[in-house]
Amino acid sequence: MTSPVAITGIGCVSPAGIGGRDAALALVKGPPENHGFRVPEFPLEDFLENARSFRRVAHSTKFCLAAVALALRDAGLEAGRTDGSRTGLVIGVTHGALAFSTQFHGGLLRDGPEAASPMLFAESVLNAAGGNVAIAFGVRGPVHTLIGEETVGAQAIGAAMELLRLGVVDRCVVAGTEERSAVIENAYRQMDRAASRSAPEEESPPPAGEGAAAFVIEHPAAAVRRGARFFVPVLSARCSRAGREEMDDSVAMVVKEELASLGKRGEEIRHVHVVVPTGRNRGPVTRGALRALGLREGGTPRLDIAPRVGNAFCAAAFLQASVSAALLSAGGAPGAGLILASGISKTFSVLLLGGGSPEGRTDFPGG
Amino acid sequence: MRRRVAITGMGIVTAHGIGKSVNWSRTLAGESGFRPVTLFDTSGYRTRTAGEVKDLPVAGWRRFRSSRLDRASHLLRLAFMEAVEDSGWGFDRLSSAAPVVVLGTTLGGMPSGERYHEEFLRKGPARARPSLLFDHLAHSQGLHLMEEFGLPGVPRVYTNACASGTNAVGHAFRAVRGGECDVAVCGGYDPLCEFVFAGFHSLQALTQDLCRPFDRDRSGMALGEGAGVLLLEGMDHARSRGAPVFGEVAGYGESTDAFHMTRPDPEGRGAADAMESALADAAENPEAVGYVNAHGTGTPFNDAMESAAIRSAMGPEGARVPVSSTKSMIGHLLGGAGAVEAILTVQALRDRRLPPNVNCTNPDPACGLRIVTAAEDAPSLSVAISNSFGFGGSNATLVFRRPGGTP
Repeated sequence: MTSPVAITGIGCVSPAGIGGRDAALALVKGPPENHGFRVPEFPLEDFLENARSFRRVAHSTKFCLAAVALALRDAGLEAGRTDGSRTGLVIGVTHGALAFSTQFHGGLLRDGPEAASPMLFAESVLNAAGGNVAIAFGVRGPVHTLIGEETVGAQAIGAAMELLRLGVVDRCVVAGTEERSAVIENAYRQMDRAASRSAPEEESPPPAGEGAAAFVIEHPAAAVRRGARFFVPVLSARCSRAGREEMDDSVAMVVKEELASLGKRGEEIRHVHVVVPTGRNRGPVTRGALRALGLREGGTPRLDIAPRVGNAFCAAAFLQASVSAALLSAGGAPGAGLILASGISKTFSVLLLGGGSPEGRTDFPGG
Repeated sequence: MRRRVAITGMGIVTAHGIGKSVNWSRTLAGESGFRPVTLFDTSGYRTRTAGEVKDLPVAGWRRFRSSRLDRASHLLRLAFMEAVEDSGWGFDRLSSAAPVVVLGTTLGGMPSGERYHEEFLRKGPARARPSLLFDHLAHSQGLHLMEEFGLPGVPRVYTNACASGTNAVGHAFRAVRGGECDVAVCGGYDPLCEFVFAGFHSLQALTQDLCRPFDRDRSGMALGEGAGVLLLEGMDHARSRGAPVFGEVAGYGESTDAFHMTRPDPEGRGAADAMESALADAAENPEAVGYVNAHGTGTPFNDAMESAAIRSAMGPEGARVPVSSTKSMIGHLLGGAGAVEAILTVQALRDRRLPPNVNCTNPDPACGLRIVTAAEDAPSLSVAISNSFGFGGSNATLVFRRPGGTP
């Protein structure tokens, strides 16, 4: 069990729009027609004063910069209002800046080493988004990039909670970001084609998408001290992997354990989000979760934005969590949201968010 | 809960060879691990050598076809196996203990990624093998390892450029110290590949000379490859099972420059912060530190910055404390560097012998450090630190104590 923390700011960048909680809620309604599962072009100047310094960054970094700017603004922590050394940053990525990586490597194959671009190399390292966000917002505490499947969203949130719990930082920005890439789409398409040959009854996978979402999370007491209002508590974040057991059994067991450790009952879950990259995991993950909650299929709203905005891998878990946080906060009632994510290697994550209020709260359940 | 953290297993693979024994003896002898690169064609490059691991054994996987896996997975597995054998756990018992697994890497299985992309471009998207792309993802190697040895859970994989390995050890240390787990597997790895070689070539960071950290005539870094894995365990737990204790992780500090994506802050403020917080975390004073295993890449920028940081963080002791960079012999292992250098630092504490910083024939007076140019005895060595810094301004420092030392 992990100690709860509060989300005090949300930023969302997706094909459905760019903004704070409103943009998260827009994900439920769906994006405009013909978005092509891509984030619309936007000027970084709308979000950063020093945007010129970041004009050459990869798309995944640009999305992340905008999402973090929005989350900090939402939390009332604009530039100059944070102690950089007491602020941490944890970024989750699955594939990173693949457009730059493939451009760099393609150039190397085509024209040889002398044509290799130092800018493309530097901006294609997996912590490029983290490094640039730290520079843009003066984050001088721990800045970490965690890599993993869709589950790394919960892992990054867990790592940020840990930094808060240990007192290493007073606040932590946590974000996930992903950009579309022809190379990745091709690989997943090939894999799904192979899977559908062996199991044609499986659901079709969602198309690849892109985007970023960021949260500012703080210790509730610290948030209250600085006069911040927080929207929802993060109750727990846990990753696991189905070993020899079936995926639905593993998911059911972990969800039950997390609910029990929080003293929560299944019926308190107001909505379930499921993030999966392939058709084959969708059924087992959903079944396992619903079994743990004591619900039948269709008994609890199952929100899934991926068919409408695409699966943005690690960022998808963050985007789903931002939807959950926005809904819980808008509802103003007790309850909780469950965000499940699963990767291609039988990994899965369980993220539980608590209830909030539209105006934000200044009290916190359990202190 | 805050308990002491023992190192009960260590495994290492570098250009010096496979295993602690060969690595430590060659390190103390100041041998060069650099050789002409055979993994890819270097004819178009100004630099042709690197710390490549020779004759890497790849056989012996039970759950995967060895030839299918990336070089990175083989490096990691070999280091892991040595660490587990050291520790007396046994693979099955370790699996039952459900260790936390924390790893660091810069680009994971990039050699497989290169092959996928080359097939994608040359044979067409439909004929590129997707398994190559999935093997390239930087979390795949940890998943392969856990699947192979039946370790439950999901690895936490840090990719903070060249500080990744140190971050992995540091976070595993915190997990054990805080009672989150009794035992943790941690470390870092990176294979040599053309993508990275070309990248550092394009940044003009690779030396065409010898790698000479802290030398007046240093002209850049040399790349290497390898892996380091440590088993960390609560001291109480290690003692109760009669495990060997190679050393103790005593403190961890981390910070970020927020200055530039590839260049360090020349004043080294972030690096000094990481060292200071690591020493504070270990409750040690600079006077207690008897050795610094430096990040010491051999680039003009890094070594000047790190020297300033050491002098700032350690005060008057900064000019006295013996410093060496083992990268001068095996190259920069990127995500593997922090874990490998942690192991060499623990070896130095155990043997009370300081590893040399070779090729430093004219120590740079501007650095103002006491560089260990040949292996030397350190009879009173009890505390040592290891630094790692990376792209994106990541800074991380670990503090180690000799086994049996007083916390």
